[in-house]
Amino acid sequence: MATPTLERPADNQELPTAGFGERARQWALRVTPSLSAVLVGILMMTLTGSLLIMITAPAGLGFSDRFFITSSAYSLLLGGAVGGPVNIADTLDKMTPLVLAGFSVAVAFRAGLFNIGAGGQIAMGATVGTIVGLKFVAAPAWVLIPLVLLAGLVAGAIWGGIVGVLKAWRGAHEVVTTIMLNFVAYYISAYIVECTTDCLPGVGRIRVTFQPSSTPLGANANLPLLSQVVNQIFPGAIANDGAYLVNIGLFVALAGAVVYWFLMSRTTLGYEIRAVGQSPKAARYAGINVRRNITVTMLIAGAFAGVAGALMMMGPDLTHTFNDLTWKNDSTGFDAISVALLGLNGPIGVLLAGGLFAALSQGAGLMQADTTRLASNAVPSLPSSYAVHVELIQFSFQALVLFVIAGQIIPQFRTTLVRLFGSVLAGMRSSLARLPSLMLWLFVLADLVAAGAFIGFVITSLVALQPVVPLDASVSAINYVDPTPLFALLLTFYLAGILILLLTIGLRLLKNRLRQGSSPPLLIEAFSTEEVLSTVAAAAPETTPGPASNDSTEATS
Amino acid sequence: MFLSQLFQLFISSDLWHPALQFGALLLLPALGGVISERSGVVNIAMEGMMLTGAFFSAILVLSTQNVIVAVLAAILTGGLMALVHAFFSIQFKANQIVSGVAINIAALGLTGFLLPLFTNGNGVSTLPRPLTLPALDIPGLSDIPFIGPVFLQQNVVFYIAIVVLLAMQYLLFHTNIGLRIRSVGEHPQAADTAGINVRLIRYCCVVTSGLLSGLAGAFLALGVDQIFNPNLTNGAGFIALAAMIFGKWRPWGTALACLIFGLGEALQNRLNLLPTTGIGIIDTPLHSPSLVATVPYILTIVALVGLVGRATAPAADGIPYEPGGE
Repeated sequence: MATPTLERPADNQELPTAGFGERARQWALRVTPSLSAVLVGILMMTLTGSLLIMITAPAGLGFSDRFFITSSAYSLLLGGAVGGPVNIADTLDKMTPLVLAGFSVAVAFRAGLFNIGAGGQIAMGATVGTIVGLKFVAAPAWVLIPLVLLAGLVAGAIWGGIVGVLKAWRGAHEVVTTIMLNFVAYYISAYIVECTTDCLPGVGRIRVTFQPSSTPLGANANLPLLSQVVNQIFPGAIANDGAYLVNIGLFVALAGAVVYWFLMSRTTLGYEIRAVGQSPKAARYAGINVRRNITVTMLIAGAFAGVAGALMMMGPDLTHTFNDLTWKNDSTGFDAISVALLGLNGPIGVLLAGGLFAALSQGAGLMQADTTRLASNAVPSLPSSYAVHVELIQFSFQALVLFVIAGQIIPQFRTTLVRLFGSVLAGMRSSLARLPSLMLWLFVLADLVAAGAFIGFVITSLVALQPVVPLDASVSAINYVDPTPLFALLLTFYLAGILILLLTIGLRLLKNRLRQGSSPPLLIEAFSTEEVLSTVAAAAPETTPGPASNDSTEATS
Repeated sequence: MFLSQLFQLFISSDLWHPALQFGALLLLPALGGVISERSGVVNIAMEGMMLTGAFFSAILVLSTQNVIVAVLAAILTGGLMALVHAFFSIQFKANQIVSGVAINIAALGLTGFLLPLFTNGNGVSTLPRPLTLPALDIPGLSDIPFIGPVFLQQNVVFYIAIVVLLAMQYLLFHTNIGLRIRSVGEHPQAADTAGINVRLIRYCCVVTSGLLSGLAGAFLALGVDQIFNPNLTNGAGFIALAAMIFGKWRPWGTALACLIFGLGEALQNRLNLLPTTGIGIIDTPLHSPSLVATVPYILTIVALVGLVGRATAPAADGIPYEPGGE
């Protein structure tokens, strides 16, 4: 299938011609821009959020009060996300569907398709999974759980496959069809709920008037919690095992990551999908069946999302039932776009991005609930109506996504990042010499101290938050260690690092400007859907095939 | 029973008045999308621009008690969001879809974050009548059955949307500037060679789309819903995007698509009010308002596949370059 003409020159660099050190260096170069963009992006995110909190704190407070509020908010954010086993379990639980939906979007991105329809595919997976789960409610758990998963997978795959077929054979723009199918899926799930026992025996509920919802799945279709599984094997290992919400669905997500990795980098199909994403015309010229690949890609994308939907139904979050608005209001499908973008469509990247997103949304809940209470210890004048809202974290998360994208797309930015981190990671003396080296080391130093403070903080929170308290319970019992000194350290060095980085980039831009004189006007490609979409894919898979070394040559030339 | 009620609904102004209202609400951002994408910048950020506009119009109408100021602020903030999009996608050549997604969700976070701050944690409750966008009322004419309520009792923004539609059609296909816009979107190199400032035109077009989306946001907050909630737009911008693609990036086609989507939205709202439908009293599938509500979306797909899809040749990709006419 794959003809030699398709082998891109960049692949030659990855041939194992050199020893382990050389390969490590290549790998470091490859992941450097993405990784460093993410790292710097997280710094930026913290900074943006901190500044927003400090600016928007109630009037009449002094700087130190504002700072204390900020540090309280962020320590609660961290504490809520990873501060204690219960919170970590909750974060992992939130992460599960997000990661699978992220793979759904990512696999489509790889083929140059924009899957906004993960939400609808999740809804279909959940709805059909529920119907199947209720039809075979008497089956034992080891039959029923895979069955519901399979039903969700098939339903999601069909829902995604429709998009693929329409795109491949009729040229219907997938952005339109996915949005339309989202609505159709939401209304179908609402129909299942509205329907009485007459039209869907065993699924719809008997004439309900107040907030109708589907019949809850039977106990055999409930995913066992991890802690309960552990207790089965080692009786009594975990006390209060119902408090840890993470369930065995997490393994499905991890398996999804393995499947995604294997599919994309170890199979002909994955190769073809990537080829189609890079350039459909070239792929067709090379004998790849573009239509078939688009269809298969959307089938796979839908399958990932459908499994996510089935898992959401079988997990503890929705209490195994949905109402007529559940899927219309569920944002997993849209969040998955951010996750895929931030994860740069790689298996590890999407896992990490999903984890980060889940951790942030998990921690943001505690932050909104308790910042005022915590901060009022030191700031008595803080009105009790004040709260740091979860939207702040949403907002700054998007700043992070934008920043990472900027790191991928803006060339000067990218080369600067490659220089900064690539030189550290891969020991590139040539590019190191071109940097203001004092600045580089200052930045690295600041970053290391900040990272140290971060790790210290996490450890402190883990120790401090020992009492097992679920997020929504009364939190007055939690005994926090005062995190302010560590947070102050963190923020100061973040700030310093950012300043140094911006200065470096500024200097570099200035130098380029002086050297080149006035730059010629930029010509921008004519808009054509396929080309734009292929740039989506081109921007993403760069992490894997790795033109990073190309960048460094560009920069030196 | 159900079917006859459905038929009754279709010849009543109860259905067509909200249908045209929703249609106009979608039309403004959709036309913004048309001009932006005609100039070669993919714009899926209409949702975020609308939301920003809606938010600032609601906040400003409460603080200044002046509807005009609020609408202007909405238009401006929508334009500012568009400027961010333009800056990223033109100046930085960032991926336009990615930038659009980021703007959408950033707008959601920004408005959600600022809402409790500006309203002392209370949110915006239903706006009193003097603080909303008025509906047209011509004595005598507005009382004509059907035509009166459907065409002559609409909100003022409805008529603005119609004017924008006509103006957009004229601008894009009957003026020099329109020709330039289309050439920039079709073949920027050639346009640049011909002395057209590609970046300037693209900036202007993207910002225009933001201005229109901001106006639509004000229409939503001050006219249609007369309230502001977090995520007030709830996907309207994406439907506008679909309408634009469905309308093949042409003002008239887009307007038709907006009308269909508006009809679908109105149909679903009205159906939920029918005595024989509603939650928990459906006995056969045909009587479900939810299933009826899927019809416009399915029709869109069918139309896209059957009619529009065929006409949209892959080579032109929905952006035909036809100097001197449509």
